[in-house]
Amino acid sequence: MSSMHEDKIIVENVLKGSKEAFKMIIMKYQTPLINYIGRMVSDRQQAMDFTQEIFIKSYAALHTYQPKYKFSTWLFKIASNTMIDYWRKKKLDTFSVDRYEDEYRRPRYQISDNEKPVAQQYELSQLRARIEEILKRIPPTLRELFVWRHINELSYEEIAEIKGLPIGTIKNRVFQAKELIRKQLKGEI
Amino acid sequence: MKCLDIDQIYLYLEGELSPEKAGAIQTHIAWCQKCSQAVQERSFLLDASESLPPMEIPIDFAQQTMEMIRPEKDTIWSLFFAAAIGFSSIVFTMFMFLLISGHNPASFFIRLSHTFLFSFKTLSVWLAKSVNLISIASKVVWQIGSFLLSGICRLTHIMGTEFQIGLVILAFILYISLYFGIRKNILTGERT
Repeated sequence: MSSMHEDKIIVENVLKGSKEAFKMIIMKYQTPLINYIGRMVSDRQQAMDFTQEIFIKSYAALHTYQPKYKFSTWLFKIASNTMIDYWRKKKLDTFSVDRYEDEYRRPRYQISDNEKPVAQQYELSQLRARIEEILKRIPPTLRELFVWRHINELSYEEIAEIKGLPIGTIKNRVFQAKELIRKQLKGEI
Repeated sequence: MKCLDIDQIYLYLEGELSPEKAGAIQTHIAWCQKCSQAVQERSFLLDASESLPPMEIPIDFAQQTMEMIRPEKDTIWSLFFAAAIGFSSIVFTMFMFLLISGHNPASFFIRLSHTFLFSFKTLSVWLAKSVNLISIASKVVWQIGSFLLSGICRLTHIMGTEFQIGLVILAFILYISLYFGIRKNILTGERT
């Protein structure tokens, strides 16, 4: 049975009144959600609280879910909106991606002739730790897309659907995020 | 083939390119050291990113979350039951009070039901009359409206197009002048 079909059946059971079915949804999606939320907010307890809030919101709005879409996409959309509200309250600049986009589009973002390997200077475990540190510093809008793509392993199509943006834009922004991480590793920024 | 740009490298590494384009890139990086090194570098970064350890979550997280979810369907039922129990207890208390104070509860409830029936009858008559009145009023309004519309239709048949346009313009001018006239009166404090 495909994951999408399985989710559809679970959701139907929840709508019929089975709370146990919703517990199955939590069990299935708690790790992907905490992997996303945990990297969006700095505090671990806050991440737990947000994740619970997202599940509660999704339970209340479950009747609005349309089974033709993937459940994970719908859930991440709620999660993303929760994070946008959080950034707004914290007065974080959520729409500053264009600055990076312009920078990224310059010709120097082609491979430079004297590009030196940076990532390969680290051991894999060291590199993972450095990436986690750098992720905290890159703009949340880029961080979010990077986490979805490379940690939650969502497809570009799914991310585009969550954000309501064209696939090309999503790809560009994920590439920007990766180049930003690389540049931070290099110590250029 | 020209040297690769960064987009191409990422699309290649993520398997997002067609087999032809991916083949062309493979051929290119086989002899171009600069591009080969750039691909290796980003591939290493990608491997590390995709193998980041998952964040820990408490074992009882799902249970804790479930306890925070209020059963909405149960709430409606529990509200209904609470209302039913409340009503029954009021009736029971009244019954006990009448019994203790030496009154006959049966005659009290018979009187109460008579009063209720009388009020219900009066209310029903008023309701029926109101509905009848509203239906008559709506019929009259409908007939006046139809008469006015048919009158306008006949007039537009008789009048030529130019005359109709002229009439509309005249009405518009009249409306504008009336509006500004009234506005001026209001602004200057004059009364019409």
